[in-house]
Amino acid sequence: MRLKYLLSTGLLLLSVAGADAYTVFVSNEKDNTVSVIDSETLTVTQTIKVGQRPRGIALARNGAWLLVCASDDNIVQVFDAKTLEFVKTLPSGPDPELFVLHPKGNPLYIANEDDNIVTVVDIEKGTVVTEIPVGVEPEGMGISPDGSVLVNTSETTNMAHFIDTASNKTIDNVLVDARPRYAEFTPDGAQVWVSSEIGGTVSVIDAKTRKVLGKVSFQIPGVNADAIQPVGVRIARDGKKAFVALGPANRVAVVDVASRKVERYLLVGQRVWQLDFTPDGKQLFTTNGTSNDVSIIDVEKLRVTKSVKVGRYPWGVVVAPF
Amino acid sequence: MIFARASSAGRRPFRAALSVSCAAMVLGTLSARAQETEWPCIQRKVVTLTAAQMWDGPDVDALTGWQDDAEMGRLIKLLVSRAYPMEKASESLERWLKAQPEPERDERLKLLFAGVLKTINDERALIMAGIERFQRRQRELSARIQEQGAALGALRETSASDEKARAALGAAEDRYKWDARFFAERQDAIPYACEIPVQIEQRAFDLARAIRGLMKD
Repeated sequence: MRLKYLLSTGLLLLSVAGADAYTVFVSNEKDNTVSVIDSETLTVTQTIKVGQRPRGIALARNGAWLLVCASDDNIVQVFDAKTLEFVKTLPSGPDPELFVLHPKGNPLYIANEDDNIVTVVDIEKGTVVTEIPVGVEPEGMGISPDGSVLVNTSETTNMAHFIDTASNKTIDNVLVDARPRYAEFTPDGAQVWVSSEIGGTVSVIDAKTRKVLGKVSFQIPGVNADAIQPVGVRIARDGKKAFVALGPANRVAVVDVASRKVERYLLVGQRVWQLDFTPDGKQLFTTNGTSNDVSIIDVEKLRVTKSVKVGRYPWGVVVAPF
Repeated sequence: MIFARASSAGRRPFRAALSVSCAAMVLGTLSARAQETEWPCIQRKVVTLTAAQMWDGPDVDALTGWQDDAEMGRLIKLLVSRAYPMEKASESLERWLKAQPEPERDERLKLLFAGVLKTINDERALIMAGIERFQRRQRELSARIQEQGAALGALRETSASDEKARAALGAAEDRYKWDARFFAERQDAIPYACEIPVQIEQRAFDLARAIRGLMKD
């Protein structure tokens, strides 16, 4: 009895002690691998082989499944996020680049870069629900917190396509600056932030009226405009700060959401691409495609605390709640 | 999108064995892209690397004078050589720094980085110009192959009734296939060429980190 008590108390303590440790998954586009990082020790604990040209990466089933876009294999792969064992393959349509999961956990919306469509996939059944035609070279995918509106950006058409998820029909197209890359809703669902790699801006769109409310632009002393290429965007859960990856400017911009003013530029690794917060919102991980590492930002202090070497051309990142 | 690729077409290995219709498709894609730019790499072109991209240290872009220091010049040559492992480059850097007067070290490092960046930018510009030249030739070649394709179509039509056209058809088909194969093989090379500027940028960043790490301020 006593032993049992001690054991259970010990387990409880262990689980409390590990409460802030998360698992970070990084897709390495050139190595065809995913690096697994322990957020507490900040070391790569494992590297798993995945399909060809892994880019978009996400979690499903409340973190139990790890989904990876294997772009050159034209599939989405599902792994057990804890054991890292391969579970199954999902159909994706050709050249899947980025995807977003419905907040309810199903379906998955996949941008097919080479085919100008968004493929809607039931992840449980492993079937294609429908295909939604969009602009040329679809890439960025954002979904409203209530799951009613999906936003897809098309690289060549320079538009953010608003799609009603009930009918899977496009309800509006909003013109943004050149080569839009990523779409992110504010946590209250009121705005969509769309980054434009060539335009060098982030367009802030009213989610209801679909009017562009304003644009965030970036100037970094000593860095030429052609190197400032906004890509990944993440907005903190409290909705106050947005973090924008600026590609070969090697900076992450910290933007005040209300005023849309840049507060600070943080020097990270080279060609910073995508970002993800830890579930507690305290750390932000960035993938740096040219320096082959991941930078860790202390969100409260707005300081880069460390960089961790991963595989070649790290692209996407997602943090699991365990 | 980070992974170097030439174009939507170049990304997929294109082999000579592929059908002529596939070649026409690739050519069409290339012509469309050519109107946008001569830069075929997936990474958007960044003309010059600046110090502020590489580090949080002082601006060195306007600094000159490193050319007058032969020893520094030799060191720069060694540091920027990608064949020279980075660990050895760091050791050479530290050895050189120890020989510099202590109060001047930060200034010397700044000047060194200015020289490193200028040398790297010059080399990178040459390589990027080479890639664009290559792409320009591909575009010209693609236009020629398209013309050949059109001529082939006409020859095929007339060859049914014209003896001369029938004789010319075989030679024209061979030329078309060879040119298409040559084009395809060159197209396959573009993603590899696009990796060179990336490697140069990696080296610049590593050197910036190493030099900045030795500065006191």
